[in-house]
Amino acid sequence: MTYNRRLQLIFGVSIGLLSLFFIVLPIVAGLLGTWLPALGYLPSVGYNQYSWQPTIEMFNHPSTWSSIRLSLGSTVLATCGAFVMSQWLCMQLYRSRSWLWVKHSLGPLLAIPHLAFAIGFAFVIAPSGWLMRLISPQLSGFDIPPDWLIVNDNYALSLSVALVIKEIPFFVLMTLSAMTKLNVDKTLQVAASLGYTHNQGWIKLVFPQLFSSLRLPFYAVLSYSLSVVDLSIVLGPAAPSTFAVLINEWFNQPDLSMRLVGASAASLLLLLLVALIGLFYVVEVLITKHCRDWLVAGVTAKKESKKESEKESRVVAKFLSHSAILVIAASSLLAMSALMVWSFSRQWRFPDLLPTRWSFKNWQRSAEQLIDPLINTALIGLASALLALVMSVIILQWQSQQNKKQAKSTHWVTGIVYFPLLLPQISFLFGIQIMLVALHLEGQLSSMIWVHFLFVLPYCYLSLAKVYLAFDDRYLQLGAMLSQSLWRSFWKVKIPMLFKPLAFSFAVGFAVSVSQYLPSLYVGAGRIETITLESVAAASGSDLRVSAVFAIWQFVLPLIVYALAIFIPQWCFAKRKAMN
Amino acid sequence: MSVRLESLQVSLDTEALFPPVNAQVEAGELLVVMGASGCGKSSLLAAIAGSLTRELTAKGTITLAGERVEHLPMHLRGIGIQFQEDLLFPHLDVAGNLLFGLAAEKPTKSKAQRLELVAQALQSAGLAGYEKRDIATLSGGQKARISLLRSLLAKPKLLLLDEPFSRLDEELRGAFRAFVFTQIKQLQIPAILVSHDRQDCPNPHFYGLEQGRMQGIA
Repeated sequence: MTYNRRLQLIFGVSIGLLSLFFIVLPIVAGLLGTWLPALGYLPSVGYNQYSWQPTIEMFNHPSTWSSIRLSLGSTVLATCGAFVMSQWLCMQLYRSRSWLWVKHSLGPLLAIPHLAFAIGFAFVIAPSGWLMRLISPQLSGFDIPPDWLIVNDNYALSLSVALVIKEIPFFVLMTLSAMTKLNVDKTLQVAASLGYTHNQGWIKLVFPQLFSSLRLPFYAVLSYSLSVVDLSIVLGPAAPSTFAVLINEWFNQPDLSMRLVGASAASLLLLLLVALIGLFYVVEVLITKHCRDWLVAGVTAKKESKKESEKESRVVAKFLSHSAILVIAASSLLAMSALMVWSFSRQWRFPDLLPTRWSFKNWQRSAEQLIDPLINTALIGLASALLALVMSVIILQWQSQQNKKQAKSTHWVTGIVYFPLLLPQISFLFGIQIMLVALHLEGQLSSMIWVHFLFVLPYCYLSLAKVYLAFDDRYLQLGAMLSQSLWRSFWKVKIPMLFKPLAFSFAVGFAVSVSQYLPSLYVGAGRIETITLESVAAASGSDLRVSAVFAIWQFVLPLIVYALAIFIPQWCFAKRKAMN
Repeated sequence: MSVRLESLQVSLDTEALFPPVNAQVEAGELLVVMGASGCGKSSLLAAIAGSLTRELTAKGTITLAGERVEHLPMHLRGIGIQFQEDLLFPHLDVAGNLLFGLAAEKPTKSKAQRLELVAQALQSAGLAGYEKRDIATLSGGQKARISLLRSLLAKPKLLLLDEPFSRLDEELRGAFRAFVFTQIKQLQIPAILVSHDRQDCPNPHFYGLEQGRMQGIA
């Protein structure tokens, strides 16, 4: 066996073992640790007999069915809404003057954590929020906030809207990255030369090619929306709440038998996701089948009058698409500003647009409360992002050494890496908690770092893969020949040349870690507080101003790391033009 | 110092890309290998250097300065390679790039001594005082020369040249070609150059890769 093959084998085997012990087995344990209690088996608290009792109890609970309806409704609405909007925006705005602007605004929009956005968004849309203040009392006639249920509405609409606003940028980013694989400009030119309009060319030629790359992100968003708890607590309906929130409550009740009920509900949630994914897959297959004829049907001849109306609809579409991105950007900006203003407000009576008295008190008051959670969050974030980055580099270095035929055989790793993204968090975290309790690892910093690593890894890998695999490995070869050491070449040539994307991927990982709610809740065991846990607690508390301070920290912490990730490489390579 | 290739062959799956190569190059000599594009010229060099991609396999022996090297990984073969592109490391300055080639000298030579070697090398190429320059600010010809210096400072036992002139424009090409040939002569190392351009061949004979034998320039 040659040296290279041996090296590849060592790489492959270590990646296999690492992912087996740190990803696959714990997830399997987490799932089993949820499924068995769902069937009545949880010996650690004295349930030794399998039974359908928990399942029956779950279905008999008065909230279950309405919760499930709410969850399914908001999930489908949010995911489909965001997906359709994102695709429509890409189609409308591609090659328009705003396209560059859209691209540049993606980063900042994605950098805002879901939770901080949700808390700020609630400040904006609430009956006493900014929007209402803007039209009060002159237009609305309200001197006191109306008694409307906008936030926490019974139909989970504000939750769905917040999800749509947050997921559109994500889908657009995924679409952009899928677009780099095809030649969109040429495709549209060809389409135009055959008589297709821009939109027809997009729908018939570009979108079908994009879709295969968007399928996984679509399922991931489905899974996320179905099992999201922190956002649901802030914006979602209260009684009944969404299914995930209900499950979370059951898991945290003092009555231990309710955990079994929670476990069977969590298992049902997973089944619901599988059913939803199956449903959407069937829909996709049906659409592709029925559209095949339509795809190749060609251009229907247009009458002159129709062309006129087409021009008009084009103008309308342009207006609508610009309004849509304006709404997304403005709501994010407003939400963040609302947080800022609230955090510095002392007295802010209802119809006033701004506080009448300002103060630093809220910041000072929460400082003491915040130090521990901030340190924990930073530690966990830095450690889990670093681990995830190292793991991503190991995997990618291995994949980059495979030839094209073998590259297919490395897909299992990608599958394992992405798996935690597709699995609803609440469907296996309880099992993980049980496993950690059994191993006496619950509530420890190391377990916390590990569980965050599970969810950070896919994002680190995703944000690094393309650049890493596109690296011209002749640099690495040359470096090895010149320095007579592969290791040295790797450290002194490849890593520095990829420093920028590596730093960025680290920052993405850190941000993902900061935003984790359920993993911290289930593994921290109340002993490790994080800023996100505290933010949710504060948001459900009574003091809006403290809640705003917490939410801002949840946003600022990742922002600092993003800024460093951009600034440090620039500073390091300030004199190296080709590196920028 | 010399290099001998015996029945060296590269195959994709089981199909050989070209007839077995048998050749010997003495110190200070240049063997030019010619063939149409796509006939496996770069793969031949990769087989000698040890950097073949995994879908390709090499057969045959490579004897370098009396030692068989075909079983060694690329970084231990003591071979330098020069590509069409300069592939200078963009994150290092000129001196950094050249010092990288002197890594092997680290245990025996101080930093000052190594910098002195760098300065000498730059002077020999007419680039005295360029140590602190950013790679991105250099002209194509300067990059090409520094890239070659970097390969040579690592004291390779064999220099491989993969169409090193084809990216340069007409004027620079002649000058750089002359620079390369004198450097090989001066340092007394064997060199193998692959090209599809007969102008790159200073010798009356070249090795035809597709034919599998030496040929004269018509």
